[in-house]
Amino acid sequence: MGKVLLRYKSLNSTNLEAQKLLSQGKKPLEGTTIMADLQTDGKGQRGNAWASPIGQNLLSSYILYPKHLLPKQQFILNIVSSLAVYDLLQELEIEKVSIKWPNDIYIGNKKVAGILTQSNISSQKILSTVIGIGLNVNQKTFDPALPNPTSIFLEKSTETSLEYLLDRLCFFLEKRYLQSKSASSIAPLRKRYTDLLFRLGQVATFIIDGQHQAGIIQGIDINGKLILEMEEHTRIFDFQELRFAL
Amino acid sequence: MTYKEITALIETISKSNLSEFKYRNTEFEVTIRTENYSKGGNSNQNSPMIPVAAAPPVQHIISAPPVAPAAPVAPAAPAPAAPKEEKAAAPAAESKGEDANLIAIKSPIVGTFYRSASPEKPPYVKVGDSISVGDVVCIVEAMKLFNEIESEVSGKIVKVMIDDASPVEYDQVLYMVDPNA
Repeated sequence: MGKVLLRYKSLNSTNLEAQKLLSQGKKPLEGTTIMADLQTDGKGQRGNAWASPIGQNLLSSYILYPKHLLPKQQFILNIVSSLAVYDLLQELEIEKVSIKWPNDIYIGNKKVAGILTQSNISSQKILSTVIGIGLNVNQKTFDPALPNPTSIFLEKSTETSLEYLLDRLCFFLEKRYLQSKSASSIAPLRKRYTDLLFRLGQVATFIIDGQHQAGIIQGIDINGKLILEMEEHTRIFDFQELRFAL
Repeated sequence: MTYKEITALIETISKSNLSEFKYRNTEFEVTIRTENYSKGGNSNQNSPMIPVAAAPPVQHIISAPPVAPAAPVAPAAPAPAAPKEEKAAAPAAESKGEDANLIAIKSPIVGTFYRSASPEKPPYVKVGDSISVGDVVCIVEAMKLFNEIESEVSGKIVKVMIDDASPVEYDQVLYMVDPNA
């Protein structure tokens, strides 16, 4: 990861650039990393804008060819990327880091990183995957309209070099990705991810069908769906079916 | 229940292990029996299976239309005393000749179907568009993993089988493509 690094002053978005590279004739090397100081058209999921001031945050995308995974097993990609960001924050000795299902990284009750994973699928195969990670690093103030952002600076009161963080993130991503290729590592990866889930085992409020409902996160099922213990029984949710009430 | 909803229902049930599915509300009743039903040996039906075009070895729909013949589902048929094959699947059957040449593009995963890259963008494909192998035809999202689905066939889109932002099941038909157009 990061053996080939393409760094740009400004891009529409690192994921879009990665997909552009993939659509051109020669396949980029696996692990090719794209980084931008500024994204003019940063994306969260489904077109949610994701803005970041120039040069303050780590905006990077990684090109992978996960031939070892079937499309239906792709939740492991959420596990790989979430754990890599977790590992990085852990190394920085930041406390109270958790993974808000399925793939936001939280410090306490605040979001420090978001992940956008896009794959191309044909004939029941994952042809390529782009994992885009936006990590708030040195940003000191945020748009008050954002619900609950934080940054590494706000947690540690010190600036961190983006180059250093990129290097370490590549290291952890590669480590977790290689683990996902070994059948015996899948269960430990899933367990680690589950143990780190935001609000695991606590009574929390979720918005389900527009209603606030209490539930306790038990973990994830084989497909990565969230298992919630509700008042009368256990229910399983896809991402579209539930939101956290923060 | 619309025709589309019924076909979606058949699709879902045929992929399950169910042998029989019944649903009834104030307006209508639908019963779907799958191959498992007759295999199970509990069939007291002598009637042969009606092959349904385009839908894999599905089943037949047995429906007892309620008093109101205006029920949208069942093409008006006199309420039979005994269960009898109904024509609910008729639209598919009628277009059999045509559909036989069509190829289905199916969902490789369970998730949510999106026809465009983002809400403000135009759909990847629409009816009448020509597509080539490798063209992106839609996004299926599951647990925040966004998958661009590439076509394995070339031809012309003749039918979009489900609505934008709807849930899809594994192997559910997304588009019908005419490979000869």
